[in-house]
Amino acid sequence: MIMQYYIYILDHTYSDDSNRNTKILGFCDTMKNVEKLKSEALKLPGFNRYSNNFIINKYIINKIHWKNGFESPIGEIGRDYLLESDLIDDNDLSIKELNLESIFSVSHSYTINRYLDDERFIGVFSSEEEAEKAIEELKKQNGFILNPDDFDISEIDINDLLWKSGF
Amino acid sequence: MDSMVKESGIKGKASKGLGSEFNKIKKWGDRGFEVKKK
Repeated sequence: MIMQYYIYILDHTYSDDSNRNTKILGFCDTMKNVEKLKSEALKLPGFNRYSNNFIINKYIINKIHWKNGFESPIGEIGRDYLLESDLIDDNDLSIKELNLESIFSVSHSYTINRYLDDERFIGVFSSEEEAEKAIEELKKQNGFILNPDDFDISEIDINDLLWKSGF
Repeated sequence: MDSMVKESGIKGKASKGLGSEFNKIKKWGDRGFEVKKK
């Protein structure tokens, strides 16, 4: 059996009548650390005003989303769609077991027009090599093949609050 | 990774990806200063 590991992503989605916006606050190895990040974020303006808007999702490590490419634009995360969790099995383990200090988050984004980007969250990877391998695979797929240079790899410290100011 | 590299952001440990602070500021800048064509 292939062991799968998961990570928690804490985000904050603010919406009112005319606006919806998702901010990714951090990648955590335990729920305790998710709560810690949430407490830190609550000290910042905006997050403290909308304290019920935090969302916690679980993601499988090294899983490539959008593996078969795409046909048409979907728009921007938070504004046009929300991130959805992966299905986690009882046998899956927290990334804590891997003793990693950082992960590599991969996304793809290109501009449709000045007011709209087409964005996709590709996944969370345990190493830069895994992240690059995923990108090389996706570059050949429908949709991505037209914008092969618009992938982003960000190395992110686990349990670090990514937003330092509020909104 | 040493602390100087980390602080400078050269290696990109501050996320520039979706939903990041950098990404939101960039969009705001790109779009906010644009004069819409009539």
